[in-house]
Amino acid sequence: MLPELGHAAIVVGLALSAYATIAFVLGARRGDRAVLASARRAIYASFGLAALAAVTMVVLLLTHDFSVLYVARNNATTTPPFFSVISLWAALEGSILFWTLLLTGWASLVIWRHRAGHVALLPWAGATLAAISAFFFAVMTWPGNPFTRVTPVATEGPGPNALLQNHPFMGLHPPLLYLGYTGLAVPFAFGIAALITRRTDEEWLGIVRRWTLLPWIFLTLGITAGAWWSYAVLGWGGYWAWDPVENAALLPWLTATAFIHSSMVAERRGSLRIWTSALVIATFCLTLLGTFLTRSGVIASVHSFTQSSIGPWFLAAIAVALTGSLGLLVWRLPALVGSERPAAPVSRESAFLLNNVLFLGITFAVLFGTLYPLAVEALSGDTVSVGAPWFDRVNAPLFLLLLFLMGVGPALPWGAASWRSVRDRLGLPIVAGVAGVVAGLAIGMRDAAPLATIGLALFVVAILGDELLRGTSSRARTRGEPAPAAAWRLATRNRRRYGGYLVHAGICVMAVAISVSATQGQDATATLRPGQNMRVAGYTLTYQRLVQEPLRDDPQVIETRAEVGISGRQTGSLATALRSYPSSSTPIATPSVQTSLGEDLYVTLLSYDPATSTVTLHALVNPLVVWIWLGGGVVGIGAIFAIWPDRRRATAPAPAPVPVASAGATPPRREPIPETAAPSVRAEEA
Amino acid sequence: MPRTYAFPLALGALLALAGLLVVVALRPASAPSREEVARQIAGDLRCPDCQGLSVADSNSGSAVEIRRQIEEQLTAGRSPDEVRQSFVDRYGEWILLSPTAPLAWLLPALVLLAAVGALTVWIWRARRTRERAGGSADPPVTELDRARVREEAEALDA
Repeated sequence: MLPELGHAAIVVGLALSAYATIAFVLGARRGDRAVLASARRAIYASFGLAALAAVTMVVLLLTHDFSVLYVARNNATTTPPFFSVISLWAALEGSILFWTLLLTGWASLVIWRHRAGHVALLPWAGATLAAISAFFFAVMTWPGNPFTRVTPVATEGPGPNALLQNHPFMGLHPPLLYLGYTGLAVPFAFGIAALITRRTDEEWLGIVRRWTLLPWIFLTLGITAGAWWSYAVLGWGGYWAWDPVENAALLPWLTATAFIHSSMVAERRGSLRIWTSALVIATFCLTLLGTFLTRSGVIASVHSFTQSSIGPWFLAAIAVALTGSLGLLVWRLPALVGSERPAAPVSRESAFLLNNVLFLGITFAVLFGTLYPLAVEALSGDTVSVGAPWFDRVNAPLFLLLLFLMGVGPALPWGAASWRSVRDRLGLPIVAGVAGVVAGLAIGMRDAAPLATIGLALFVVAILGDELLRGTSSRARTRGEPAPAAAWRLATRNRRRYGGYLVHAGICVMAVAISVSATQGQDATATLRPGQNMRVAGYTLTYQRLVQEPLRDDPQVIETRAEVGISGRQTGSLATALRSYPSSSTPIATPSVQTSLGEDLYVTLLSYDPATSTVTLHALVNPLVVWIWLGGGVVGIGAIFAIWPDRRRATAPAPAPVPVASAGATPPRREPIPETAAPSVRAEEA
Repeated sequence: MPRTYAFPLALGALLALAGLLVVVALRPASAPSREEVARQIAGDLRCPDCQGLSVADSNSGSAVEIRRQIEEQLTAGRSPDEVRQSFVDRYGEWILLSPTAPLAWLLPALVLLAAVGALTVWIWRARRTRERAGGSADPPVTELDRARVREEAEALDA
């Protein structure tokens, strides 16, 4: 009964999404408010139906109803409730259902939030979102029905994929990632709406910027949480393997980040309209591509748990989205060209443009590396691999250049920079960067990548700190406020700028932690009998005993753990384990990580012999890893700070639209304003 | 410190750093230990029974076995390239985590260079056009710029 209810909800959801698509288009063309209101209600209802279907599935999982194929494959009577609930996204059909829930949720939120405004854009954005929802409902109606029944009904199932039930982070990483993925459909929808209505103006940019930043935050946190999960669960001591599925999450993040930056130029200069539209389109197509790569089984990888017949559906969807939106873009080109105002060679605009070129360069490289083996195999039948050594070598220089720009950008004024102002801003930060490199050399670091990263990160942080100090001191001086209050007020009145700076600071922390941990780690492997010890990077690990017992909250799972005493910079004891799951032929490592601010001691149990209690341990000392997660947190806080609603500005009347003066109409005379006071805290220096 | 001195100081620091780096680079580096060479090779090889991990990173049985063979071959006096080749002979190109085809390395670089080139040309052409029109080479200040400055200044004082 319940499964039929779930499937009925999906079918009705498909009908309503299809109706909403048509109603939005008709309502927009006829200007019929009643039809538009009905389309909006259809979107809300489709969200309700997706929620009904998802709740139904969760109930089926919690009650272990093995008459449903999805439950029979991904659940066991002994699965703890928490892992039963998160099994909603443990495999293909459930993930699509979860995906649809989030997508219709975003659609409803957007439609509801803007129900009263943006009369021209909203119907077309709504139609696009409804069409995308309809696609996902259709996938669940036909090839990926999560409620398919199975007979005969088994009395016990294998439980969720062992890797998924090994760590509670699996309850956090996929929802964050999916929230990011699905949310990026919103800027795409508004991009399509703007192209159709020929309204790629400031109004459009304002909406899209906000609705890109929000999913961007989720995507950033989701990628970081995924790296953390991989580090804590997979047992190889790393957190990023350039696996195709990791790349699939990174690609839309790269283009979305490029959009966030170029939208600032577009907003200030009233240009780059083609480019920004193309970026939101590319971002959405890359999320579809990511789903295709992850879920069609086209690339075998640790994340491709399932293979299914949905591959062709997604390929078709990508083709439609890409050709449709690019066709629309080309069709509208005449309306978009003409307002482009190129930047001065040395200016913040140029820095932003170069930033975009680099982000797109990295996007191309990652996409190329991911698809290259497929292309070679399709063309010549040969199998080749593209892995971490290639991705590291190709991308590291580009990321270092981005880091450099991250510092130079904020130090350059909008408009055109004078040599003197640039020189004054860069001096001390350069000294800070050099000091960082020297310090690295002094402690014996010889690898170029971490040295360069440390130097550039300090350079960036010095520039950001300098910006904050200048603003604070001038505010403190002119308004007589104490420095902390001045700094806080300055930041909260320029949320986007200072939130952005905080994001950059977090990225710097992450960059240093990544490059140092990737190059400066040490490891050792040893086979030990009880009482014997091994050494790694100043630590002594003493193997004490082997314990084998079923897990308390899931007795189907047998855990074998080696208890180890440690001494060195951290002391204490740890237990590193292998777990045998009924659903997995090989035991799953449960590494033990002792974290300190300076380094992690990461111990994996490779193998054991129960007869002699001999174990083989792999111990790694990974410096600074915890700073990757902390830096990710700073990025999240900075981004939330940046988009936090500004009450003061929200209540102020909207500024009168300012016509973009054409270059020819304005006397080409150098004005003093942008030179020294360009929209930065430099106003008071003029 | 007055900011006027900061930049000469920075130039000095950069020069000193360059000198220091040259000294560090010229100092006879100790030859990498056999362990380091073995780890390097293992990092370039794909673990046959994992999905995308290198032999160095994986703890699977075959990765451990390949690490042992690398060690063995190096002890026997083979060069790193010979060791790598022996695995390519056995498993095919697939075992290498970095593709050997020059295209795989050139294409990303060419695309990036083309993009940077296009951006440069775009900026400089616009500059030339403005210069030829008899004005300043820099983009003219518009009402949009002024509005932004006013807005920012108000935000600063609010």
